[in-house]
Amino acid sequence: MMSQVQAMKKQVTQLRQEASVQRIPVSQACEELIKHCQEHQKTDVLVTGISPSENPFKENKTCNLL
Amino acid sequence: MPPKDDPETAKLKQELQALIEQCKGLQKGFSDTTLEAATSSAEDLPRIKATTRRMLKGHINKVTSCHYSGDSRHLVSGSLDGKLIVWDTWTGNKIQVIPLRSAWVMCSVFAPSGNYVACGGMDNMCTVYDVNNRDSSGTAKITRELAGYEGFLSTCRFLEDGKIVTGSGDMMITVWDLEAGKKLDQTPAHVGDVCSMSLKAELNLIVTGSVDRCIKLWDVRTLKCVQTFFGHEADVNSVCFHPSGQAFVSASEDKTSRLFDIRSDQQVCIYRPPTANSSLTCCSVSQSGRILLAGSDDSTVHLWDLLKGEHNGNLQGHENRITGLSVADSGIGIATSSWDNGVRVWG
Repeated sequence: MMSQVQAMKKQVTQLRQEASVQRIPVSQACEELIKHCQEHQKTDVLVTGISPSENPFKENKTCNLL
Repeated sequence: MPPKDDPETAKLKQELQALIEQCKGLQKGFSDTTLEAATSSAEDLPRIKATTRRMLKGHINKVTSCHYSGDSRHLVSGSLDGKLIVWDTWTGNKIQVIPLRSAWVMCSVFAPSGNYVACGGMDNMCTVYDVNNRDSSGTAKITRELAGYEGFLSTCRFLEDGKIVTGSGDMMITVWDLEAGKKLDQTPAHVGDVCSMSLKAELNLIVTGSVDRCIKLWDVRTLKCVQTFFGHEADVNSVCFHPSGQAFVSASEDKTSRLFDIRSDQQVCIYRPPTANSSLTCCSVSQSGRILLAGSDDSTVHLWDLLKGEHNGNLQGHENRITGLSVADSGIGIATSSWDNGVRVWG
């Protein structure tokens, strides 16, 4: 168990590291988030709906051999 | 407890406070726009149409968690009835029923390979089962029982078949070597119970949400905390990476869901249901990352356009609190678990 002082010193070191993290502007971050979503949206079935051919939940119909 | 801080402690407290203010100031400096403003010209999202495709019946008590296998077909659920059930979500059939030594299961997860499932809870243990091998009684063989927690197991994720990372009520995160049955690494993670975890394996990152209202980003190879995110005003119940790897979403007792961006190091959006009167218990994103899903104490799963922040309806059907939410990797299938004893698959 470390003393309160030791724990706080550790926290200071940790926070100094976190403060020095390289950041980018929110505008740039948003641009890239938008780009990712838009690039992948067309194949996202929650956006487009599940097409009959790719629907794993449909009931299997029995075949009638004539 | 001494009534007054000694000079060294007082100085450290001041330094910590100053560093926190510095971090907040730096974040603000990069906050040159809002997500709402940045996405105002993006196309609107059409109304999401998803319905219950499967009702998975079998548990006879509250279901506390569910998680998809990497094959987007099999699902594991854990319930206070003391069982794990492995389901084929396409047919709705039970593949296996695994009786547990403790009924107080809080989390259940599938290894992406589909070969193992792990669970744990108030037994303060994490137990791993081999889905492909049965023991003499015909149920899945226990591969490992991991003890050594001083609190309940709240969350875990397989890093690979032989390695698992866990979050627990003793505020720790722990990485285990399953073949050796030994702890590889462990660290105090939060100043409150660790409630939830999300893994972005390709980037070696995990995010953890806690009762201490913070969310932390960790390098899973070193268990060093990279960044800490603030914003929530109550327990963070759930966290989930955005598929881009650049951001993650969260759900909280404070009745909001939020989006945090990693590289700008801050919260960039807040999402509220139209009548925000219930805790949000679990969250996830659709395959493209465009849609945010959050399960609620109000028995529904709320949906939002993640980019524009607009509420887009909810998935209705469960009759009690939603406890778990899992989106299949393929994007086809959203599983939910509930206190109504049921598990549903939506799409």
